[in-house]
Amino acid sequence: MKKRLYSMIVTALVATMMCGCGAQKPNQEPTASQKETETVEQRSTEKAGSGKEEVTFWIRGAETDAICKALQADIDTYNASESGLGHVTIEYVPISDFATKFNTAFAGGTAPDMVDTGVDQISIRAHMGHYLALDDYLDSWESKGEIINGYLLAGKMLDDGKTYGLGYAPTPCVYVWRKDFFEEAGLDPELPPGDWAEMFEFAKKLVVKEGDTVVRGGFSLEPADYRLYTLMARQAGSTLYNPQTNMPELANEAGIRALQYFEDIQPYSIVYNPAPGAKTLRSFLTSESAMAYITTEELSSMLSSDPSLKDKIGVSAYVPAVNGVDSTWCGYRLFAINADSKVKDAAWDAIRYLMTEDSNRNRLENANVSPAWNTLLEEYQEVNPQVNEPAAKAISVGEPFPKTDWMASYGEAIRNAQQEVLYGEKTAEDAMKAAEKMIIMDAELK
Amino acid sequence: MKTKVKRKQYVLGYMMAAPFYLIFLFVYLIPILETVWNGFTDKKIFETPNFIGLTNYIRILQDTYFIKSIQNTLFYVVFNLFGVMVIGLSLALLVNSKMVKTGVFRVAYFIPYIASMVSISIIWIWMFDPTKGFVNYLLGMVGVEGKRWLEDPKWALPAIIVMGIWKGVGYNMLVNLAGLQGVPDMYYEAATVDGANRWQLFWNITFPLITPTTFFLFITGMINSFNMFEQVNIMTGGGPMNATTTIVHQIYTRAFLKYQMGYASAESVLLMLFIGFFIFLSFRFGKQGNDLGM
Repeated sequence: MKKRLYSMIVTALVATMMCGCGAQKPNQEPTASQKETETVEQRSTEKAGSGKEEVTFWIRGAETDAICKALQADIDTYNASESGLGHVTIEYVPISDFATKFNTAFAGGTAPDMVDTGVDQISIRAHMGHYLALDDYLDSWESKGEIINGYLLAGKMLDDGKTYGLGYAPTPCVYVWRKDFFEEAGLDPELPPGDWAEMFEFAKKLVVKEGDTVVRGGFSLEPADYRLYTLMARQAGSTLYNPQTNMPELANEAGIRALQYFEDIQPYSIVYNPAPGAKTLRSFLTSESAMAYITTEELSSMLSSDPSLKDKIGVSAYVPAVNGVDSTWCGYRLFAINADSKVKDAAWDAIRYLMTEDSNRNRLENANVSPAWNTLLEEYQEVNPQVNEPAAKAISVGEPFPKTDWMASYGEAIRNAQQEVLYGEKTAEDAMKAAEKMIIMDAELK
Repeated sequence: MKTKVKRKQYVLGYMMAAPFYLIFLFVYLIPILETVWNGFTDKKIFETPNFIGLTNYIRILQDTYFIKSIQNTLFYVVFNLFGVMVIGLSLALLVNSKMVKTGVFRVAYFIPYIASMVSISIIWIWMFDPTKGFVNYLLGMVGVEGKRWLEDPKWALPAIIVMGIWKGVGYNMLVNLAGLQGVPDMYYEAATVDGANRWQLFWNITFPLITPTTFFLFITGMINSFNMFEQVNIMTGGGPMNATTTIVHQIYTRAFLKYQMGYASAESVLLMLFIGFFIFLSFRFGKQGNDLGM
């Protein structure tokens, strides 16, 4: 009796363990019975939802973020309308967890139908085949002509020329300065530096030291972040890649010049290099530097938490390089559709709704998001001229990261190069050559 | 009849053991074999792999970051292992003496070991903060200038080693304490009668008789040190300038940030061979001692 009981228990355990095996791998064609099941489920959904298809939508951030609230309001309106093809369900995913969660979901076949993604991920995922090319949808989109070109180009890849994401919320980096620190240093608080050379001279006057230690920087350098280098390299005239080959081109005159500038201004700067696990604010946000580049989101957050700073902070789009070009870095939040989604048309229908003039106006009014529509640009600048006018300029000349398949290595290469120069291990030229070589070697692994 | 009964017993025995072996097969053996195979392919995270032979291994030989990670890992292994073993044994001797309250000290030194590495790493980020950290505050009290610990390539890895020793020393203390308490008193009594001093008692009686314990701690400590990852990922991200990147950190970066699973698999195989090599050397040339069969 006991033996029989033990045998049954053991058999049950073994059977339970075997149940976990044999999950469907990605990129595998569903079997005939799975297709049949999906068709039946699809019909059930259609019947249950009055003809609407269920669309899952992952948004990066928290439910309480202003932009998330604005998107939620638009989605609620879309869901309530009778003309929409889909019924959208939102899930909020912390930005730091998004990549891991999406990879897991994609591997398990449970990835969402549409996502809110960023410029650092769009290239990587487009080249992994996660996102659908939207060109067919864009070509037949009646409002396409109303959209600012930068938003349309934000998700367009350099190599195949296809668009895998549609920009809806730019996140430009703007140049900011503390007017009160400028005044203390004898500088005109209303006048930002005219170019890099002047910015260097300003940093010399603005730096506050105790002995050899910089306690308040004239400028803020961030070796752990690659946005600052990217925007300054663009200002100096570097495209960061070779347009003929789409391979990285970092060790050109402009790219080296940008990194050399970091080395030159370092003695008069605060170097912000936090541990990955530390939740610290950038040095400008803690009043530890007089000049910096920060995103408009960070600036808005700073002004919300301390409104008294509103008159103490000056904002401009960027400080141009001497003999540079009219360019800077601008990030974007983009809408993308899962390449494996079974409700692509419904997902596009929801995106189309979120890109209407009304939705853009909703995000502008409730989250101060720069609108994608040309017709709303003036309204955006009038809402908050201090921040939005320079932001609009930065958006108009800004470009995101290089949209290529080697983007996964770009960040690490630039971080290493910045650190090697700031710690005096390499010259700017050697550091950029090493960065370029690293990206090319990684790309050859593909 | 007897054979039938025996066969039934055998079958039942195998069935009892089956869950463990099935878990071992699917959770350990098959993934290990798959990793070894992936090391010979260009596998990306979601794509079908192609066989490329030894290309990944040849590439690894030219990978300056991986070579740097080997150097960092060996540095960490040597100094972390030395630190936890020496300090762990010293604490065990202290706790084993009548000088201190055993229970309270055991708990105090063991708590860091049972705390999660993630939480400990976050606490030590604050401890090592150059402006507000406790370490620089203590140094300032004795007139020593503080360092930018986690931001200085010279000091970042030593800082992580210090944290690793602080966290691991409790476990070593506890295991050593068990070993010390297994040494029969009669050896000490006899040696004391012969006029041996404290150092002679330790060197000639205690240390040789706890060799099995020491060897066990050495082997397990070495394996753990080679697999060091969490604290690097949280405290420094492998920087500054790859001063703290380790082999496992490189594997993680390749596999989950760059999605180069084939290359990461090759690195994993190399790590396995490194650890296996050092364990072989330890067993071959190390004194494992004999268990006290009393």
